[in-house]
Amino acid sequence: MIDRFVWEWEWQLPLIGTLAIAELGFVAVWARRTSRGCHERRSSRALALFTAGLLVFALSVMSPIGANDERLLSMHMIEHDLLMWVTAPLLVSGSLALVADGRWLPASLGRSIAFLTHPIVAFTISTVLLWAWHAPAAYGLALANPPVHGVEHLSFLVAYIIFWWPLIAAPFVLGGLQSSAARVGYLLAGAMQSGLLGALLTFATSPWYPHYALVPGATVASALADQRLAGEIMWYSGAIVFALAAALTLRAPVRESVAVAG
Amino acid sequence: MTAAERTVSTTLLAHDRSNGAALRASMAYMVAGLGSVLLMGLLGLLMRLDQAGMLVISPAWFYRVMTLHGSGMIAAVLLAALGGIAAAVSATTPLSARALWIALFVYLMGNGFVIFATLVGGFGGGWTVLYPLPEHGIVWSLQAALAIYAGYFFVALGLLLFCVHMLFAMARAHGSLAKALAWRFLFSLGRDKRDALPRPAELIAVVIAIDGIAAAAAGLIYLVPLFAQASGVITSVDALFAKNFVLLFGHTMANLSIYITAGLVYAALPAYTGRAWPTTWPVAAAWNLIIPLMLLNYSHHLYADFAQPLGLQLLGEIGSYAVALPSFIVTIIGALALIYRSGMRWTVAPILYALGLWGWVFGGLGALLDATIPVNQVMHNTLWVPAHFHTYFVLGALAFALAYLCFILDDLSDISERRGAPTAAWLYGIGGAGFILMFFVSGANSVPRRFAVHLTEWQVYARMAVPFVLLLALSLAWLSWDLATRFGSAWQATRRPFAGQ
Repeated sequence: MIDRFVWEWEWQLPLIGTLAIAELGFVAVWARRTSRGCHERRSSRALALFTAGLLVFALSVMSPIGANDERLLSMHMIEHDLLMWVTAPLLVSGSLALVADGRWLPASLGRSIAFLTHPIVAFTISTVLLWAWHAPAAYGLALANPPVHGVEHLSFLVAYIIFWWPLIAAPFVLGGLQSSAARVGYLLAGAMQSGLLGALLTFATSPWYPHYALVPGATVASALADQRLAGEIMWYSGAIVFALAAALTLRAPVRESVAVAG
Repeated sequence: MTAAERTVSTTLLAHDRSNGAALRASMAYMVAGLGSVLLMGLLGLLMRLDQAGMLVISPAWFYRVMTLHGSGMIAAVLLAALGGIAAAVSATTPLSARALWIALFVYLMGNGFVIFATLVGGFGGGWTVLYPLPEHGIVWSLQAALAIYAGYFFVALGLLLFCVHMLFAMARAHGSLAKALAWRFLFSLGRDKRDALPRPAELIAVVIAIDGIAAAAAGLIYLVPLFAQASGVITSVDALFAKNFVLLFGHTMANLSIYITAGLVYAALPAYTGRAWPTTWPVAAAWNLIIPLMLLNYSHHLYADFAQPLGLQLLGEIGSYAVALPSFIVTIIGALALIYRSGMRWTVAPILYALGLWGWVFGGLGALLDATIPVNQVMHNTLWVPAHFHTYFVLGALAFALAYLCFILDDLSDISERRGAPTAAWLYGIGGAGFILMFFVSGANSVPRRFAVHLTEWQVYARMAVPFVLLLALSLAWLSWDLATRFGSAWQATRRPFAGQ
């Protein structure tokens, strides 16, 4: 059983192609920026972070975790967690380290990014999308329809790229949170809203998604146990990720750093 | 406002704007802590209304609320106290704002776990989560118990981060831990003054950092076997082991709040009285003694456990008595001597400090009685116990913490306290005293604690307490409003260079 599970990979050629194009595109921009005199170490780190983000994305969707997401809610939850809490911050870290202050972006794109990554907007988008997709009707639709399932994953990724941006972009111009108090408040709000959803799943007395009780070999009781595990995965791993994010993103306040530098 | 209009002595102001980032983090601790106190206080009001028969809450919900109120209050007051002591020492000790913010985040996330475990998960086993009861709850699931444990884990981790940082910062600032504890001065009976002595607040910060690390370690030692059991690695945990460690963790946390806020008296009262409060030999001796004594007195909560070794029971009694003496004699007599004929103006902070000293004395006497084994066997399961710790908290630690926040605002804010604010402080004292007195009377009349449903003949005490609780809530809201209107200006002041420096 475990042997079968471990080797149950789901290779998706269109996805592999898309990820390869994204990596090549990034490498092209990276090579151009590096040749213009960007700091070499920072630049290499950007490439490593972005590549790691794409690899985690591929692993979460095509590995046994993703391959079993329609059989076990707990696997589906791990897949979502990897997209939101590992892939998204890695992609943001990689991109931001390269684009630095964003002055090379077209003005209209810069304004759009600034709007979307405003902390209130970013928090609202990530929260609304996370909760909306976990509504039984939307979740059921995604499980029954592969393209909708793909849109669900993509929207989680985009929503959390937007969520992490204000934290990771703090030293730069676009949408960065400027004070430690604001960063703590933002992280806490993010941890609490996803934690509450995880708690609701953990303590629910009946399965939210009937699909998992109808999988061959499953019962209502096993689906409920799996749902509890899924809720705990979301709640506990989220707490660890947010604590790590706090440790990594809470730096000396920007204004003071600027004052000292000046 | 001119300097002459200030209510505090500018020569004794403590808050260093050059470390504004750490000071802001400390203020955030205080605001988060005191804000949580208000919310937890509302839960307390619900419980008292239920016990008075004026509001009907189902027993399942009563115990959820009781658990959240108890654990939340301990965490909230401790948080405010930690912020206060960090602010007090930030003037002379380079604290890392980053470390303070990270510890705060982890600590608050732990609180989130406890909130969800109780309100969503239905956990109602009390803040003590006495093993094995939580894991065999009928009303709540094992997941709810695990969530409470996870919450405690993060709270303990946040406390540990804070205390480790404080300890290292102090040791670095003074050259060594021994110097930060004034040991050369202490062991030479005050004759050897070669080392620069730490200020009392700094000495207390080191003491509480050491005990805080011990308390957090006890919490983590308690949690590891419980998680191991939940995951099936071990089959059972020794209940007496679990009880000793959870009380060493939780009781010490509650004690820490009280003793840290005592440190805030040393830090602020001199500014209002215009008299210095240096580290004398009795101060150094008293606070060094607190280090071992604070870790011993939890055992008075286990007198009813027949399996507890007699030596630990006696140690609990001796520790409970001994811990009172240095703190009472040195801090309270010292504070009264400082106030006596000082010409101090009775603004909000001094009023709250005076109330806090009063609460410390009466709460301490109640605790001493409860720590006496024959009395404990009669009184420990009555409302006498909530009476003594509510006295410590409402009229002790909370009053001191509020007073210290007032002190920060008196120091930093451009906005003076409003004319009516001292009235709110006095009303706080009256409300608090009446509320607590009814607990003491109930305890003396053997009304049991932790009962969701009270007999009709018990309800009279709760009914008499309700108006005082409402007065307490009203006065706290009034004080909070006054503090909130002055807070923004003080926050901004931490970003500006100080003319006096």
